[in-house]
Amino acid sequence: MIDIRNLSFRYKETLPHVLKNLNLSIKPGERILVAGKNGAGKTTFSKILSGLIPDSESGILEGVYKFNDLPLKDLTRREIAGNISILLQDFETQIVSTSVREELLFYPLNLGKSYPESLDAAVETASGYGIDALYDRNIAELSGGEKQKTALASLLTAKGSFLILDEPLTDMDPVSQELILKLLEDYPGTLIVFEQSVEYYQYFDRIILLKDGVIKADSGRETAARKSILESCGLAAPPVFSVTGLFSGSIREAAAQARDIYRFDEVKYSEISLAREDRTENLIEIQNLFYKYPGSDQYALENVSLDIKKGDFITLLGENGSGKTTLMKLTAGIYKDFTKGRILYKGQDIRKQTMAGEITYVYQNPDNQIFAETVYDEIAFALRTRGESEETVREKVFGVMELFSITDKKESDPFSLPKGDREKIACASVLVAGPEVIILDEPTTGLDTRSVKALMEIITGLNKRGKTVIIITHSMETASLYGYKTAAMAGGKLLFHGDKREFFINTALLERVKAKRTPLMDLSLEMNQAFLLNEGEFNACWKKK
Amino acid sequence: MSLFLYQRQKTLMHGLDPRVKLLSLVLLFISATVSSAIGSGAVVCSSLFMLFFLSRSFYALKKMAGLLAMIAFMTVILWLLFYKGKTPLMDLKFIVLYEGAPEHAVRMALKFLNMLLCGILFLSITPLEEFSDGLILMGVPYRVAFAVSLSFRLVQVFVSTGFMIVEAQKIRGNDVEKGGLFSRMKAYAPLLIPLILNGIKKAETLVPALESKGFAPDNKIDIKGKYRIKPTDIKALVLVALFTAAALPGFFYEFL
Repeated sequence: MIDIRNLSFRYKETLPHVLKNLNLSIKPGERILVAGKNGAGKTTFSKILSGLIPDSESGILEGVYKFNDLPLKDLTRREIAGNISILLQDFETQIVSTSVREELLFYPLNLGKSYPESLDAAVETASGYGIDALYDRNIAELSGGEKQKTALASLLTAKGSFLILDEPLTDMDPVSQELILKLLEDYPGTLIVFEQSVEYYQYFDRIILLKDGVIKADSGRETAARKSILESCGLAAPPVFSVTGLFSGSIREAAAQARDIYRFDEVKYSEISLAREDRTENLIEIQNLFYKYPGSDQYALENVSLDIKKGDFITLLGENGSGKTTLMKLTAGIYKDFTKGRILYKGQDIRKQTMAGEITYVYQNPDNQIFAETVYDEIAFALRTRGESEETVREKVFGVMELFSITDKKESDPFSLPKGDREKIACASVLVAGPEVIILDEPTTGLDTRSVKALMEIITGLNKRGKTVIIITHSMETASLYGYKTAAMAGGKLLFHGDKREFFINTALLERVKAKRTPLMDLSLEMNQAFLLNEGEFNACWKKK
Repeated sequence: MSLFLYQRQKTLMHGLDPRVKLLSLVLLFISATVSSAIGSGAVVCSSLFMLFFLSRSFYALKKMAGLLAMIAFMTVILWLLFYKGKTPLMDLKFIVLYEGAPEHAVRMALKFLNMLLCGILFLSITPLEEFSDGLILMGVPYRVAFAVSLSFRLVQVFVSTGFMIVEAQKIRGNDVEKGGLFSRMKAYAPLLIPLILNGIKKAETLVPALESKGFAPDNKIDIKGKYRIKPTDIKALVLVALFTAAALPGFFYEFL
């Protein structure tokens, strides 16, 4: 049992409190979702709960934290780690071995268990959590999602009584997310998950909302439907509640209730379902592309052909390790050593062209791109490299800063800003060069609802002004809301490229690429078999009686 | 893409006990060091090549070929220039080449190459965990063994982060692979800041990451039963020991 009284924390005497006067008790077996936007204090709170703060990271901790009636500070690291396991937000740093097998052995061995006991725990966890296929693989060969699954499974080998997960699903495909959540339903101990949304509310029996380090709500799962309090915390209610205003246990119940309240507009629906956006001018032609990573004997891409038209807005989906990032890095000209096939940009072989400034690629981690001392210098870099005059640089930099609403931060150190702003700066610093094609790799990962919306509105605006946009994403919500075309991959092959409505309605295809419909799509199908993609379409077709 | 030299393979050498691998490394290293003559150096070198062949690890040699060639070349050049013999062979005014310099240069290059080949072979057949397990089983404290394997891991982290940053900057027109030496050096400057910052960030997060999994410097871990010395291990060790014993006279007689 965890008991916290008047707990406050700040990293330095001179800095403001990150957590303020928290009071809560956590009983054995509880399943708690702690939700809050970027900067709410979730990661700090998770580290305090696991004892990593102030043990491994210093700071000023006030108040009382008791674990099983004992002050946590009186327990040794091994005692704490044996009882409380934590998955850190930056899960890749938590992987300390070179193979999955060794990673699963590391934790129990360090808790003092014998090798046979540790091996049993590793084998049992691998089969219980669906990663048997990864058991003998090297960590370096795994995709981001597979690494996240491994990091999570490695914690379960400790068989602790408290499991704390800080944004555990960010890099997983939706089917893996669902699978992990379902498997965690059988976790016998206490589960505390920190997330930026309440999307998976149904897997928890208690929801705590954090805002600026303060607990704003601590109640049952119905909190997920309390639109006003969620919005005050910078969070959004799941779209099903948001559009219907109903809180039901299942989609079927929600649909039954909603049918009594709403009437369906057939005319609007036929307008929506028949609407198609077509582009004709070929910009990028990928023809029968095969690719192997150096030193690998397996194809990462196999016979991929894809035409990207000028002005397209495509969301690229697929399970973890399906080849999405590889395909896009080849398209952007970052890798040019493909085995067979060809890529043409404006009819010319991409290998004979310099793509910088023409096709741009925004990495998932903005910190890999940022290096300058101020936001202004960061954005100006690409233009200065091209030798443009300071006057032109100034004009273009201010233009793009205005677009991303970061003009007031022009003198700030980019690394000191929140992740949402760093993501904007990373985008702005490549977009300032005026590329024709913009490829974004998981731009919404780690961002809260408001930051996602702000960023995606800018991207949509750029597409409307003629830019070609491709987004790699695991978020079905993002794919349903933005872009009008979908491409989907599995096992290095492109299985679909076309209208996103056709994609989301094809159940067999969704299964093959490990994608799924959003709850709102399921709701619309359940209500009257009409397929509606997102909140906008739902509100247009269903009117209150 | 793995930056490590190790690749999982089912060969006799990959399956050896880590203690045997470590002892063999030491013995082969001694063989490489004591072989002073070109002939014995060449024998050690060809034996190592045979071991690479047996362990199907030529890919590792391919990976390191550039570095090995550069070291061999530089060693030859330096010893040609700085070897002080008795009889001058050639007087180039600013530098004198002495008789025996070419032979000595080749000898030294072979010695360096052999030492490096021993290390590459060991890392090609030994995963890092086996490396630290071997040290633990030979009585080295866990904290030291873990620190040794961790240092190799951090190199991988820095190199892979470096690659990613180079890619990301290339997109913005900062291509480090283009232009002359000066423009390349200039292009590398912006990469240092994200590399250092990412490195510091990763090093900072490593402590909580390790502690979150129960790691503590004074931990003792029990890996009894993880490895078992087999007859093949004994045979392999005896073979390497005999090879080293045969190489030892080379230390005393330069012509060998």
